Amino acid sequence: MKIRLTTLPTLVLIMAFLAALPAYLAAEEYSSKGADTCLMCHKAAKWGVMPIFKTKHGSQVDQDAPFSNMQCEACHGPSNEHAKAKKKSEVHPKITFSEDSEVPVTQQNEVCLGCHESHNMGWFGSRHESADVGCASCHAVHEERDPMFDPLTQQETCFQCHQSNRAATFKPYGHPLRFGSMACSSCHNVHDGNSDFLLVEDNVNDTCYSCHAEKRGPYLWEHAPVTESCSLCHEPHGSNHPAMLTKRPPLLCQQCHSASDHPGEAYTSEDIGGRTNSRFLLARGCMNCHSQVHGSNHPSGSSQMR
Amino acid sequence: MKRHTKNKLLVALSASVLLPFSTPILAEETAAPDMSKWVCKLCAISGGWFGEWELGLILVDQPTPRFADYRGLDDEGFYLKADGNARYLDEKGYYFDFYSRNLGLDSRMLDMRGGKQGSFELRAGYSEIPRYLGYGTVTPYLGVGTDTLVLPEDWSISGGNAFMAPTSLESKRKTLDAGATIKLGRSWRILAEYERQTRDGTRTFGGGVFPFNAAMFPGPLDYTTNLFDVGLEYAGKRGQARLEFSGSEFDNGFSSVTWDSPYARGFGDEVSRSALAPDNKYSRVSLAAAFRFSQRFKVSGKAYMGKAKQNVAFLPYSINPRYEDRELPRQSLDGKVETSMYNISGRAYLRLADRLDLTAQYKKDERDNKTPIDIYSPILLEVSSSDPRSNRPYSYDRQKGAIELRYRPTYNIRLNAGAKRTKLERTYQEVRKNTEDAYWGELQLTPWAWLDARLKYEDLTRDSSEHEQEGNYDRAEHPLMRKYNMADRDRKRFALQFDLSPAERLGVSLSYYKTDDDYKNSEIGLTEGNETNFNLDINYAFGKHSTVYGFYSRERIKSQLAGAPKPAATPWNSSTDDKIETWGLGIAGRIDDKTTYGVDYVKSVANGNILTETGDGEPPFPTLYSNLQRLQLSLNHKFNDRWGFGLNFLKEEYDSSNWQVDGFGPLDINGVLTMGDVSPEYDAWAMSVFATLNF
Repeated sequence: MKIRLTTLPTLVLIMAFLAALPAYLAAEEYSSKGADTCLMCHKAAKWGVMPIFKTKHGSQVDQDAPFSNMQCEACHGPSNEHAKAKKKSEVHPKITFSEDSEVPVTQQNEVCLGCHESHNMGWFGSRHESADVGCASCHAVHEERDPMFDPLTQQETCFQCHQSNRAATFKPYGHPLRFGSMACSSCHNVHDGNSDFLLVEDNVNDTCYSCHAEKRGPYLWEHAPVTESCSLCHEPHGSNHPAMLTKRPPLLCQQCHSASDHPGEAYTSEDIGGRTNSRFLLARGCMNCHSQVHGSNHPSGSSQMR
Repeated sequence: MKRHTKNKLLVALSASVLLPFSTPILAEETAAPDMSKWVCKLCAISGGWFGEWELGLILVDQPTPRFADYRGLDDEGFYLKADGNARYLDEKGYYFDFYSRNLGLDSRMLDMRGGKQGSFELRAGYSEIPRYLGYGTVTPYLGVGTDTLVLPEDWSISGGNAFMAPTSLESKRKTLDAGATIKLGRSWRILAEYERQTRDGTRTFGGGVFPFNAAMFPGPLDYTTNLFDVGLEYAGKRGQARLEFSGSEFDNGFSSVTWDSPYARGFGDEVSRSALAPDNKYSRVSLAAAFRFSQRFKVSGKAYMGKAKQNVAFLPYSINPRYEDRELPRQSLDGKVETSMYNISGRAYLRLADRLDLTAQYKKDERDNKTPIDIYSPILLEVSSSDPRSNRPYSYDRQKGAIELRYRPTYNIRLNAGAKRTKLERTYQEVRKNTEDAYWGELQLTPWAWLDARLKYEDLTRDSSEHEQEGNYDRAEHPLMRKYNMADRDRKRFALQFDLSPAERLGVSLSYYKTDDDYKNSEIGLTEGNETNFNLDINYAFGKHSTVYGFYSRERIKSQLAGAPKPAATPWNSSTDDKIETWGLGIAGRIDDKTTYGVDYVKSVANGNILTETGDGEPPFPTLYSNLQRLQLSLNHKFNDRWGFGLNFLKEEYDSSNWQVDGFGPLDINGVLTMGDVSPEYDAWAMSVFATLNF
């Protein structure tokens, strides 16, 4: 028998094809009864999946909801192999969602973004995407109430990575996160990398103005750093100084003001008691007189005193 | 025939080579399975109402303003505890969702939303945030809460303490919001949001009075802000876009506040008046979009254009009748004031190879202040005519370009690096242009399944254009002053983070951050800054459903600055050192299927040390100190699937000292009438007992 030059590669290729085929077929097979296959085991309370039927994901009416089409496998992918496996802990569904999953985070997130398409707008290349944060790292879709939608439970999730910000909520002066009156998402849009610091608005000041609109002005006599960034003087996550200032006046102000006479004077501990200079140091320091530090609309307010 | 065989071979070749690599793609496109047997009979989709309510009483002991702040527990005694949520679903997809907290308190909030899933949603919400800021505050002024504060008829500084009466500094923010989302087909949505914020009450206000004196008093607050936002959104598989029009309208119920000067000398300085935050309007149109050219190349961006306007009538130069004829250059900002902001940002995400990603970003953010410039002739402190001066409408143009490479040579190693350039150009300020270049590198390692490590270093250099003296109207700044937000600066940042799971149920997280700032060309002003932050988190799961956890955080913020009263004077130096340590310890779990419990303890101690020296051996300032301890206990027991009871206990102790206010009565600071605040200190508790209803 004459062996042609092309025969050997053909055989190799056929073998490769056959080798790939079982894995391909096995990986792509859906379960025979959909969610009923999964829930045979996973309806037990310890798995914590049944509350999903009290959420939007569990709807069988909304055509975009997982349970109106591929049910569990809409998110977890074809899972027949897992269903049939004797040792189920060794054969996982095609997609599993956790930080320990063998499935790359990008692939996990693609499942979510496949339906929540609007989040694609700022997600790719954003700080969280770069850090391989999975949707499931924060969101718990099987729970009756996703913790990310409650201000108190949301911050606990954020603090798992942003530990210093948890401590900051206990500082003497801060926003009311620990009371649940604000959430991290009041200021941050963690899905959008187009804004600075993943803020809800495009820059720091616009974010602050969404609650503190009185600071927007424009004022007749503007205070220059205020227009540039509120964070030049304030530490929004919490501070050791009143009004979340980064320092205490007069030193805060003296970082920029050193004109002759009282702005440039040294105010030392010896000025605490009774001397003339105490008026520039005690109580609110410079702001005893210059109370309009965010700007003044008074024609005589050029020194931010009116 | 021979040609035909060759073709077959090519097909076989192509199929066998491509098939293994194309598996994920094929999987997505695999024909839908036979779903005739997918009846979902085990799915617990029953519809109807379900939810959980907690109803009971809260008993509060020895509350103080600081304990009540944000909580609303301002009086001793009983409060209603009412928290709950309810959800309704039906088989047609209609739903209603209600969530509430603290309904019996001044910190109440509720959120309602309902609609038909996949079709439309209507939303409404309401919340209150109470503030209690005064601590031992007093004032001699009459008319608190109004825009006219007067001193008693026979007021005198020497006998002023006799007129002091307790006054509170309280305010409440109320927010009412409503919104709707309507889905138009598979990919289009209309969104509309409305929010009304109000803030009423009093806050510390004050101002200078002639010649170098000041007065503080409870100033009135009556803010109303209306915000709206309407948008049209498209979300397709490859492209998404959102067009939005939003606006804000701020209205201040008080345009000014007038107060009697406690230090009046009788030559027109008897009464002072300040302008309060003026009404303003803001509107903006924005377009955000993203497009996926392929799995390897995605582009997103956002652009907006906004206008802020403010046209409130000016007050006269002075309330002093002597200056009532002094003419203003205009009666208001004349409606021509525009502050426009343009923001164009874009990012491209490109997968160069299987393990190599590139992200590039450009952003431009512009504040173009078109406020007209005029010459004004201020009357300082109602009595002193000063030189004419023009207003300065500050503008800036901020541009940022960044590039980031992410390389993952193996599953366990990631190498990231990036560079960023930020340019900021300003008007009417000492430094017209800053350029900051940043370079960073990051290594992420997962050598073992139980360890994630991250190491990051960043080097930033900010340079400024030539420094030009802009003056401070009356007095020029020291020629060597370099304002810290524009000064040349070298910044180095370092981050180290470990996440460990040394045992199956033990998790440890450890992080350390350090930032060093060197304002290398600043002789006067901020010269150095340093921040370090250490955090440790430990949690251990035990039993079936219990976890014990603890954390420790230590933050230190230091700085050095120098000042001088005049160019020829020897500079003085000041150092600041804030140290904040926070500990937490807790346990939470389930005793059995019916009983859950939690214990949570937090202690946060903050110290602030300042030393300002002129060379005369001055001692440091007393330490600024605060110590918060909070203990929370909770116990919940279910009698059956429907009813249960709960017990919560909160105890908070707070101790603080602040040399700026402690030990000074309202008239003890030379030339300043204060409200006599003292540092907060309390030991308060609140306990709630409540029934729980699950349905």
